[in-house]
Amino acid sequence: MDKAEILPCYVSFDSRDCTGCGACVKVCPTKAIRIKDGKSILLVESCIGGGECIGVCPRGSITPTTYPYRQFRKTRFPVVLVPPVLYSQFANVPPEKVLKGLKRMGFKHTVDMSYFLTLFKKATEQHIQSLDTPGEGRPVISTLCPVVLRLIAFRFPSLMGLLHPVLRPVSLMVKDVAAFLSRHHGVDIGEISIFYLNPCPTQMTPESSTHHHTTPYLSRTIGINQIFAELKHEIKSLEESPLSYEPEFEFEKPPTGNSLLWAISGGETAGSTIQNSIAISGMNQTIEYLEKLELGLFKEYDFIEFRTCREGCVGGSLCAVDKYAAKNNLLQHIARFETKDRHQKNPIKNVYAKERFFDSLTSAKMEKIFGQKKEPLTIAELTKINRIYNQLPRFNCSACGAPDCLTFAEDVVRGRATLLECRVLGQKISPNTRSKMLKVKDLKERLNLVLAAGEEGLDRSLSGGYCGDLLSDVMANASEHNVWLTVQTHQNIVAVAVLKEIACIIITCGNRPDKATCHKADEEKIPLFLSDRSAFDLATDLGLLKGG
Amino acid sequence: MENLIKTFFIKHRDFVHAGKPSIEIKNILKSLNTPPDIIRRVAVCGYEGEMNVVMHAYNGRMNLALSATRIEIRITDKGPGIQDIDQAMQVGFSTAPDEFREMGFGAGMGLPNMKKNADRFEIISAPGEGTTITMEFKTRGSDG
Repeated sequence: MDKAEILPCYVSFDSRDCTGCGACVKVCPTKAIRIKDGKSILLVESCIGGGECIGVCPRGSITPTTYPYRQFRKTRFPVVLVPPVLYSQFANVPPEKVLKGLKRMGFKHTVDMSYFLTLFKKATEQHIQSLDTPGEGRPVISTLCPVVLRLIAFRFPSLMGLLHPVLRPVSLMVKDVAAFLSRHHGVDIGEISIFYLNPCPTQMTPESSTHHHTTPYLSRTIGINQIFAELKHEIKSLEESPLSYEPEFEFEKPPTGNSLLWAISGGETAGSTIQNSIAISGMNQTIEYLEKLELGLFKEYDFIEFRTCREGCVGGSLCAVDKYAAKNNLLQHIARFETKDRHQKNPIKNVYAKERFFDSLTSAKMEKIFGQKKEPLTIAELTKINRIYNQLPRFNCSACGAPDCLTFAEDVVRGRATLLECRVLGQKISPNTRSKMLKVKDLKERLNLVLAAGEEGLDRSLSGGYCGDLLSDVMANASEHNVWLTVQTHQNIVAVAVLKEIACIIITCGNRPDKATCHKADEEKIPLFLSDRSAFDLATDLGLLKGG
Repeated sequence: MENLIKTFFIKHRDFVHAGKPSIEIKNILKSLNTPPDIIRRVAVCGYEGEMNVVMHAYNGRMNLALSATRIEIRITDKGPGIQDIDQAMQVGFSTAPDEFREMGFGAGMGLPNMKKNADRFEIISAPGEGTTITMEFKTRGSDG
């Protein structure tokens, strides 16, 4: 299965606004962006939805793929899943009111995610206690941040074995809640639509991410910033006309202190029995520590929490308010609550029954979907990359459109770029080499030529040229890969070009070839160009093109 | 026949950059689609070797040689050399000063760990003449 077919595009690029500045190219952790013809393009097969590009674009021309959220009202049984980070978006608004605001917006049920996060935490504690041998299987890597999961599958597959094997709370939550509500209300599970309020663009279509099963219910994600204004308005309206509503089920109740901490870095293990853990946030820091983990470091820790957004989920690119303000809001909430866990051990064993663990199948599937899709290089290619890299300026300026010189060298070897695209090296390349790098198709535009036939040969490379109208002279003196300038139009010129392996023919001074000549040029794939100018004029321009 | 040879330099007491050469080697192996378990073993051995140079030797070099069937890492330093190699190879034996032990290094695990993870391990050292460690890893690939 091709990754591009099954994966959604997490982000989209609007080329109208793109200035080709390359800011996005540099920040992408999987090197999935290039500049071509002055515009950013995405190599979809390498995108893991990290969202770094969204924030750095000075023109705002990169946007996350989103669901038109108002359509939730058209579904029959809309249920909204609320992560702790949503509460951080409102200063001095208690979580209870946020949930009521969502009810008033039209959601049939609100599900507070912290209920499931606490279950997850307990399951994590149990899992870590069950690791006997010191150092073995450690540190357990948190799977909560979906970008971290994909980053590991893409760049650090040897760490897959350290991933926390407990099913992620979002997956658990969606599955349980849909089944429960379907039973409780006696509606078909297909009627239930689950909407997940998301701080980042990574789970825009959760059904295609790491779920065990294809879901029988509709499940969509909505960016927090999409609903923020409307929700804020509804919360305000609660002051004038309060909503009397008592939560029916445990998962509808507002969260308590500890679970709110999950929205910020370090919250996953705060107040848990796991003492020996570290929490890392930010894309660069995450990569740095994953690299070190691969060197065999940090075995002394039981658990590592990673969040690719700075400060944790409050730093997500779909949050509506500033991450530091959001963090402060949360800490204020927590100061008002007691910091204790929402529920004790009793329901946990049941919820985390056997099927709630990641199986090896899931991990293999993840690697298949998110793993590296590039053709592996051969040692010969790698040697070539090294040789090219050593010629490059190594400024990592990105003017060529690749994120750094090494990636550019790889692109050249993979046939995705030509050395001429390096702005520094391009200047230094000798005229002879430069003309070798020109392609036949480049002439068309530069010399303003009309293509009469032989389109299939446009990708041929060029080296030097010859002017001549005596066929025997051309046979004697033209070289292979030459461009040939002539006034002759009969079909024998094509035969000469084939014999001498000439790259293309330009018929000068407004002469026109007959049908037979064009037909033969098509057959032999020799591009045949027309120009009203003289061979002398064209040759002068060709000389300039050569850089001579 | 070796197809790709790359050299990295290691500086004494440079804890900040220690690990960078091993990370680079790891990334080269990844681009060749080397199996993850081999990458992991090469990375662990490379890093342990680097740390030995950082802690004990003056300056050193790490050489990577790659062919279709094998990976070779050679770490050469101009350090004080090892008095008794058999003793140095024992788990728990270390001459690292306390300041490094406080940083979590110098537990006497490095050399035995390298020997355990490499398919072939060779150490040549004499007092005053520095140390050369050569480690070989067999790759299963036939075309690299």
